Amino acid sequence: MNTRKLNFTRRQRNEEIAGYLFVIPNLLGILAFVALPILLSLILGFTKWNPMQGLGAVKFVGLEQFLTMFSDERLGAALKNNFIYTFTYVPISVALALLAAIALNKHVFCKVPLRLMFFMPYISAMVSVAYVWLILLNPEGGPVNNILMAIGVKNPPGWFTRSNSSLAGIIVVSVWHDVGYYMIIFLSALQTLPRQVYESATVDGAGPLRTFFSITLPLMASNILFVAILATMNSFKVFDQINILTEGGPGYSTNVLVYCIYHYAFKEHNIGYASAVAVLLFIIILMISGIETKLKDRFTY
Amino acid sequence: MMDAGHVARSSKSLLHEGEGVKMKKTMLFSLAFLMAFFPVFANGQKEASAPKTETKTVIHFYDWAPTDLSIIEDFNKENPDIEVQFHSIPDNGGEKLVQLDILAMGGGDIDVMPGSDGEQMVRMKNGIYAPLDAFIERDGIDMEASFGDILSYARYNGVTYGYPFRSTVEGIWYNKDMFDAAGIPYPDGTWTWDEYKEIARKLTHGEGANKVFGTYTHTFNGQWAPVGNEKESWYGEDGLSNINSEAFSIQLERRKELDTLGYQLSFSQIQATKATQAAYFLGGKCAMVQAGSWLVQNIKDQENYPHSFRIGVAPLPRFDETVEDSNYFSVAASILAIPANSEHKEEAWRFIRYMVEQGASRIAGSGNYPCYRPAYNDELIATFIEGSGLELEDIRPLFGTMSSVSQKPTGAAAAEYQQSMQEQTPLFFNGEKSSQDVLKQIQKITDTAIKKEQSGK
Repeated sequence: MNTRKLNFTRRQRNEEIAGYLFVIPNLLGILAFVALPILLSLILGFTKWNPMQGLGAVKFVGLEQFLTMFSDERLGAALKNNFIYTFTYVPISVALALLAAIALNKHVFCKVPLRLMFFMPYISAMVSVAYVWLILLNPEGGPVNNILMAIGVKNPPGWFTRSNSSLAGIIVVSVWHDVGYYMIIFLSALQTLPRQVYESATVDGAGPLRTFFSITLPLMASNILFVAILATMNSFKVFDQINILTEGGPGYSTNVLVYCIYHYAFKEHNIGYASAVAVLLFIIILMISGIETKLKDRFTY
Repeated sequence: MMDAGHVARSSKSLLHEGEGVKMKKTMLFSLAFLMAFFPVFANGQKEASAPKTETKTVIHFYDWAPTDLSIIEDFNKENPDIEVQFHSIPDNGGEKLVQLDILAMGGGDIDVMPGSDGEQMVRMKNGIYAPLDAFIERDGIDMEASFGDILSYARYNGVTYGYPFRSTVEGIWYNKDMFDAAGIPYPDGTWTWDEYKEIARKLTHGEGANKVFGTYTHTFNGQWAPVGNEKESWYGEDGLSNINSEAFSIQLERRKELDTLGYQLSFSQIQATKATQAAYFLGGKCAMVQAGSWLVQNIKDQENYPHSFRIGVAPLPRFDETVEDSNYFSVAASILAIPANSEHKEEAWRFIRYMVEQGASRIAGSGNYPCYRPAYNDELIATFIEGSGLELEDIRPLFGTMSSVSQKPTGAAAAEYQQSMQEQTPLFFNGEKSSQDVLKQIQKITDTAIKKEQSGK
């Protein structure tokens, strides 16, 4: 565009330089503490390394670490658990957040305190949250199981003490913790929706369910997919609650990729293998985000 | 009132003059921003050069147990060329060692690191510690005479990686007042498991919040095994894992029986409520507890564990009548090791020797059981129990000749052996797998690792 050349005054160039100078400290920080470690991690996935012997002890072994993965039971269980976790956690938390946002968008009694209560778990430290839920989900005498038995459930789940319910317990804790955050995002999106469409729908005699499926959902589609991508990213990063509540157990039932990385790096002191698993995690998240972004382009305006 | 044109013109002229000012302001801002970062770098430089300006070598010693700092002060005085700096870390189970590993692996300042609970074996295998054989030979130390059987906790594959520091000698501690109230004579080492179980039954009473259990066995890895170890060894004659033998099978089932019969707080409840041996026993919720000599620390701590009953300690029960010895204790040792990448190994070694040998009575004074045998005498024992209300005669067996079983396997593939036990046994206690399946799985994983080691990975 012609105007660009005309406006290219010295003042503007200096402002550009100033802009870069403002950004450089942060950029250096990101390069040093984020980009470089990620790059090194990716490289270390192709090595065998004992860090106690210094940087010189890095031995390149090509794809050996990746080949070991195929016969690793722990990793296989972790992959399975990650997928179960993601495909349960994401739909549940997005759905709950959307419903909560819609419910709290209109004039509801105690709207502001309710919103606060929904959001507070998100700003609480996961460590304290985990300990509280450990007590709540105590299979013998914990409040949750007492309530379940009172309403007639004969065999309430063993939560963190049994392999078939430990992952469910983790999902409960994570959903409870994160729903508030997604709800806030939906709330702000809901408030930008045009009111005229809703008014004309009411005039035309649409009920609440019809309004939801035909108007709210399509208008919110891009936001829903955005939150879904966010939730997916978060679900692959799950670690705190697992480390505190179950340490990957019983057996391998709550083992996930990030916990595997932690285990291989700091319990087996196998930095090379842990980095290889990190590369695997990177590829998986990349693929899933790619799919979801394609979906977003396809389904939204 | 100004019209738009006038405003436009005056602002235009301001713009022209202000151009130079604005440019100067932007540059000044950016400079100020960058200068804000210099103190960060300057500070870093100062810290890095601190040790160099002094002539002493600084040794960093990390530990989680209460330490009598006078030993460090004495060492610093007697060795003017070394300054030992003590760093205390919280005792939060397995994570405390991982924290030290991360510090060492990241090239941080750590020169003396303790390893405990058998978890030092995996670190020896993975090259975290520096070998100490050269130092030991040069100084002419008789390791067997100084430390005896527990050396298996300081060696891996024939190489010594640590200097034994503190032991855990585990027996059954009991509440004398509760025994008196029930009219049960105090146990000595001749009791068998069945008699132990019967006593636990008699001492269990109460319901709900007032329930007092007969005994307590914690969920630490392998707590169920020592009595089985009286009859069978951890390794078979072929060097492979022996965990699937009759004695260990029976013992695992017996441990679960204590849960199902209600004589102790169940495995899953201990995990769910994060119960601890000290809190439960000293809180009067159980009459007996299987615990190590470290319990003396908590017994002395009236502030956090107030209690007023008398306490005694007995050897572990015999597996059955066929076991002849009657003073079995289950033993594990912690070591002091030097990280493989420490730059001051010689100075660290001098401190380690001092800490273990000269520091034995002070280790005892803080309620820990020192490994260094030449230092054992009545005075040491008296220091060990000082302030705890325990009686000398009760504690003497802990320091005398005893039949010892090992708390954890410490031979070939010890890391995998312990790890597989840690991961598989909860599946037995929560009823998902049978004891046979669990022990078979542990054996499979361990044997695979042993064979890999034997073939030289």
